[in-house]
Amino acid sequence: MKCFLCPAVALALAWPAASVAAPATQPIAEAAPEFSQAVAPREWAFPRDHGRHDSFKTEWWYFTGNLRDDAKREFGYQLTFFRTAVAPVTPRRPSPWAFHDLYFAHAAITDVAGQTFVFKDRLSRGRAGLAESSDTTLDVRLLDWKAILDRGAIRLQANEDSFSIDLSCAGGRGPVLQGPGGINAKGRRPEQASYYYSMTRLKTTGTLTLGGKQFHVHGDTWMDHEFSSNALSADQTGWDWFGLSLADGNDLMIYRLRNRAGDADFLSGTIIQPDGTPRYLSARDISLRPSKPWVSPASGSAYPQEWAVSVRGMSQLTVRTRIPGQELITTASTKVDYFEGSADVLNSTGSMIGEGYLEMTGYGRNGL
Amino acid sequence: MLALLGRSGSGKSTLLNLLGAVDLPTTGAVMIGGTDISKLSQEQLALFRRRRLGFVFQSFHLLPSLTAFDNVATPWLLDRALTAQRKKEVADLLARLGLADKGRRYPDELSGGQQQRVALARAVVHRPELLLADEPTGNLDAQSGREILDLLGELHREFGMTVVMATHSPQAAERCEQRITLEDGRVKENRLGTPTPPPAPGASASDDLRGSGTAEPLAAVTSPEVGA
Amino acid sequence: MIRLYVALTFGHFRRHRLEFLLCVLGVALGVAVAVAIDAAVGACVGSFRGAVQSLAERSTHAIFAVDGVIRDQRYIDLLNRKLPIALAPMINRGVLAGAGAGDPIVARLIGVDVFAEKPLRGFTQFQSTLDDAARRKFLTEPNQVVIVDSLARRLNAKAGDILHLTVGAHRVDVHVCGVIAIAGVARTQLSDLIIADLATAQELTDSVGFIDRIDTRLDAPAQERLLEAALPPGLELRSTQQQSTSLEDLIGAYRLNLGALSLMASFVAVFIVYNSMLISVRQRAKSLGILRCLGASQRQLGGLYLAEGIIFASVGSIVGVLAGGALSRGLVGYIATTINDLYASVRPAPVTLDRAAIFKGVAISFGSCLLGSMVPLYQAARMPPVNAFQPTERHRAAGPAAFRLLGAGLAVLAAGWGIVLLPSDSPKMGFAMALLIALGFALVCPWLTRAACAAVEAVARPMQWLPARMAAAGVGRSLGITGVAVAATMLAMAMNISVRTMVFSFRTSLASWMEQRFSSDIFVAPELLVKHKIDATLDPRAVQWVASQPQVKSVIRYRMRKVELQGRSTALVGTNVREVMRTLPMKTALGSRARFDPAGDLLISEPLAGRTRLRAGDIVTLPTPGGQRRFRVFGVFFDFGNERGQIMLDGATLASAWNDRQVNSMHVTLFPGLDADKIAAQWSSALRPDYPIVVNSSRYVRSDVMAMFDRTFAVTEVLTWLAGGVAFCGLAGSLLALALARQRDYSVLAAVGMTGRQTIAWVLGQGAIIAWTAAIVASAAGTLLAFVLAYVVQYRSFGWSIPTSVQPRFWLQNLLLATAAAGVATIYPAIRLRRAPPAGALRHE
Repeated sequence: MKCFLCPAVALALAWPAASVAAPATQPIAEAAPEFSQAVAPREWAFPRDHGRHDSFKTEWWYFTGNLRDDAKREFGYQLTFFRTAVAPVTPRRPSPWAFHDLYFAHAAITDVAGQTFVFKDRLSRGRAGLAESSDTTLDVRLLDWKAILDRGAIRLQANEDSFSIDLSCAGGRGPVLQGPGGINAKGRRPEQASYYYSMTRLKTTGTLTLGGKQFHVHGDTWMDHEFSSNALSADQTGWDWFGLSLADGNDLMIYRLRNRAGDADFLSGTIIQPDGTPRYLSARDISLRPSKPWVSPASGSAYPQEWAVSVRGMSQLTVRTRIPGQELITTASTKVDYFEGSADVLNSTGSMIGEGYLEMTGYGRNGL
Repeated sequence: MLALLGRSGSGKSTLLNLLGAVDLPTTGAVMIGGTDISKLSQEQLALFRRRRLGFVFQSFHLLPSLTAFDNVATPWLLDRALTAQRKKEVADLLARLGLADKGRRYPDELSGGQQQRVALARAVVHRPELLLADEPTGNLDAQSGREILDLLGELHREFGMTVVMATHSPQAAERCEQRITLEDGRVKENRLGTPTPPPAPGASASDDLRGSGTAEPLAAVTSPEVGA
Repeated sequence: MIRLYVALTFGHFRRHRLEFLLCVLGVALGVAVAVAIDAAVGACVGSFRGAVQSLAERSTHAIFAVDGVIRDQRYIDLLNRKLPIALAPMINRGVLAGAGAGDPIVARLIGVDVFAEKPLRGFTQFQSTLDDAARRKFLTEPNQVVIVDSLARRLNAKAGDILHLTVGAHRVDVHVCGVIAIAGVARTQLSDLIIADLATAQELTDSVGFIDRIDTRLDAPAQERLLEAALPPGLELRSTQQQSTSLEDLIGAYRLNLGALSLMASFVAVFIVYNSMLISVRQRAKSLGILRCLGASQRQLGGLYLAEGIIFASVGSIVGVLAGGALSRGLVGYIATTINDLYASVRPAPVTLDRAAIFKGVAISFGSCLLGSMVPLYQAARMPPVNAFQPTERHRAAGPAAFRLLGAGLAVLAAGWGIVLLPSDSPKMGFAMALLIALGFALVCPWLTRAACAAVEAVARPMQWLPARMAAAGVGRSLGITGVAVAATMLAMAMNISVRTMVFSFRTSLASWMEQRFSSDIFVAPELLVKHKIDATLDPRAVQWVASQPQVKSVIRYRMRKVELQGRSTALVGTNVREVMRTLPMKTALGSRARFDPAGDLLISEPLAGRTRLRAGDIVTLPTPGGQRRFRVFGVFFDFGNERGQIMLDGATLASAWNDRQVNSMHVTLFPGLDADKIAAQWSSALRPDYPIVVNSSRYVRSDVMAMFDRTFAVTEVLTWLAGGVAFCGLAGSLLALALARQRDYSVLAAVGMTGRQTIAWVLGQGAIIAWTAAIVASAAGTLLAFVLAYVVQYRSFGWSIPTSVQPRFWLQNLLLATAAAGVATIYPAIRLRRAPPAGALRHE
């Protein structure tokens, strides 16, 4: 659900100053009528639906995971591709530079032991060779960053000077639809919704490179793929998202949209049970209590580092970021500052009962 | 011969210049030989000077770029009329003035006395009716001065022209038949007298101006004031 | 002492107002010419540089292809090298833009990828200037452009309007989806900008798959090295600085020509100052002698003249810089026209004299004044006290000085001639040679003047022309003054003769070359190329249409592109060489039995042969898309079309080797007896509605080129006249001084009976001797200089040799002009002498 970012991002791209100038007050992106809406349950088919959905305005593929090497050194990683349509599909034009989709991508590694966090963002118009995606399977690339489904495994690659990600993910759960028919409601109006599915506990192996050192790692990856043509309503100013894999075999996804007063505007979630079936949660089932804010010296945003999470039917959880400072300042692409961090899940006695990723936006000036 | 006497600034030179038509009166008229030269055009004046006047200056005023011969021949040269006959006259005149071998010299190669003799030759070569001399001995030593005055007297008698000479020198004045003393541009004294020799020949041909008022004066300046 | 200086100097100036004015005028004119040319060329260059820099904005470098265009894939490959360096592709073309019924104007179309641009350029980000819908249109719809507000104003267009663009071979209508205001200086420097998305621009410019350049920002030398290392062959990195000086490289020779001319004007000014000061020394010889008697030291008298030189320089600076500013405003239009005709489109902003220009003017003024016052200063300082009492003027001038100068002059001439032997190809050395030759002639002038005076005396003496003799004596006795006047006048006239001879010869050569080169009947080419020097091609359909017309006997097609030769971008022309060679004037070629082989031979132009030292028979290797290809140089042809040089090879070979079948121009030969002008007009009206094409008869093209030529050299000739003006000031000043110096002689002669007419003849005679001596020397010097200009300077500047012939009519014209100038310059002195009563000068001082 993270990726409510995306409408804001789309905005930020086309209006480089807009997100700075009036992030929250902009009456955002009334979807152009030419785009499809996520209103009806969808006939899902894979691998086709891993691919691009041209009639939707925004789409993203989100990979996060907690990995460790043989020496039990803990890492978190994120690799995300976004697609946003500047215009609906247009007639073919002679120039290969003609485009209607913009792509951007964020990659990050958290080194828990080293207490370091590195990230990079990229942006390009959709153009063969620069940024493109398949509409028949998972194959999305931005230059040499890529996420490709190949013979049952997903290859994730992002090579940078300062770090690189080269992983292969297979097995795991899902696709699991994040709402009945895949419709994931984002607000009170029916068209405020997206199509959203996840794949969790993807068995991941590969290499992370950081500070010139290679780490052979393994662990679990959580993948989200979401597409929609709609966005936040005007008074939705930020959100919090949790993707947690618990030791008891359940996966828990929770998101909360905050309004300008800072209150929960919309709250929802899903429990993916060990057998892979989802149990959808409503606002009544969830309660969140943030605490211990960390103020980013870079952006001035104050991100809570510890959350008390209560879900009806589950025992009380504490979600705590593994290190502070897992903030992305995406100057090269979206110009949105957000926190996307590896997190531990603790029970009431303080024992580790799971791990996952925590995303927080809208805590500062460049919130969305 | 007439001497104009007076202190510096008394109007001697001005009177001479007016007579010589090299300066023009602000008012009044200058009559020479019955002609009112102040009424003549510039061209007529030039011809008048060329044919009928001769000038001798205190500082010689030879043309530095011409030889002594050419300086003497200037009046003919201006007419482009230097015939063989006249060349001979020029040569004779130079010889007469003791410059027989100096004809090809340039002024800067001559002494002051020699220069003034060349100037004198230039002033008389064309037999003018009136010779105007402005302090002709002023820049010369006594010996040279005497020689010039002697020559002046000789030529005066020989060619029969009137000589009007402005001078400070009593010796020069003594040689003149008439002596007019000027003061502040006016005639203060007009004396006739016998010029003192040497050589003392019969004052003959050139006494037109001698008797003041007795004969038609050759030159007359009618002016309320000949101002300095 | 200062008070004494002031009193002496101003007292002198007051009494010699006219000489002072003439001298200052001469200096000021010299300064003005130099300042004006500098400022006018500077404005053109500055507008170009400003536009380049504003366009670059934060980018510091750009990558260009040696052969002109970069394939998209090369950019993508570079991006994938993942250098930590921002790269942004760009298309950058000159276009014609019109809206409504107004006349189209030259504009610049750039195509950019706004997403890649972000680190490099702000103004393409349209911050808060375009709304959502406009931005979406701009990015995703074809034929959408954003224009800058000043262009919108000039075109009277607004957002939503349609613009008619002429781009390359086509006319196309585009929609203005937005009008933006650029902030700061860039606003004026980018006042003709049309911005399109890269895709739109590729489509508009008919160059899908290609970009013109890749902009980048390199903050450290290490980054530059990194990028240089990553560049594939055929691409080169050029800094914005280098790009902005590319125009300066292009027009370097032209600018050098103008600069040399203005230098000559200053050179003449040195003589004038020298002359004027010398006159003042002479006129005050007595005063100086008295001062020395009274105990003034040499240094003090020198100081007096130094002070005068500084006064001349100061007044000359002020007047010259002001006049130069005014002159440059007139000049900039002409120079811009020439640059537009020959090199690149520039729109110079109104000229403003910057600090550098003012400094240059002041430097020239002080330089020439101080240089000119050195000798007089020395003379004044050395003035012996006895001068106060010198009784009689000497009858002739110091002979040995003139003789020594003659010797020096001959030595300088020899040195000038020696430069041609130096192993240098620099046109600057050519100008140095010209300058030395001019100086050499100037140095021999006093001696020649004296010789002329002796000749006049020799003739006038037996003829009893006393005024002529007096004139000869007057000129000959003041060689210090008159010799310099002759030299200054001679210099100006020699310059005039040489430039006009060279231009005339050039024009004649060009005309006959054009006759041969454009010997066909009709010339068809893109409007942009013909009228605006913007690279463009012909639409194949138009080419086909022309070729299929019934009146056509034969057609020769030309394609021009760029190719890398010896590391430099060189024009490559593809055409039917065998056909063209029938009329192509060749300089050298392989033996008469050799035949041009279309597949393996090529021709090179004379400038290229000069630059590369290639000769007939040499083998050259050219990079083609299919790899290196070897060609034999079959011959060298004369060419005035491209001073950078060009290669000509067979059209079919170019088309296949470079996979390029475009056509830039066509030379059409009609069946005999047809009226080319009429048919050109018919074709033009048939084709113009659909294609931006110019169809002209070759005769018209030739006259058009000649008109362009005349425009180009109009400024040059004007400059020689200005130098003439400087010289005239010197001549007039000298004659006046001469007349005044001879005032006593005049008075003596007047007393002895010289008429007014004779006086005028005398004064005129002095002018005539000076002017005619100058004119005669100038005829020789000018002709020699013309040969130097043609065979050394032009050849080294542009690589073409211009057959030059002696042009006696320019000698005659100069003689007449000199006579007229001398006449004019003597009017005042003559009047002044005649008006003064002769008695005035006779007083015993």
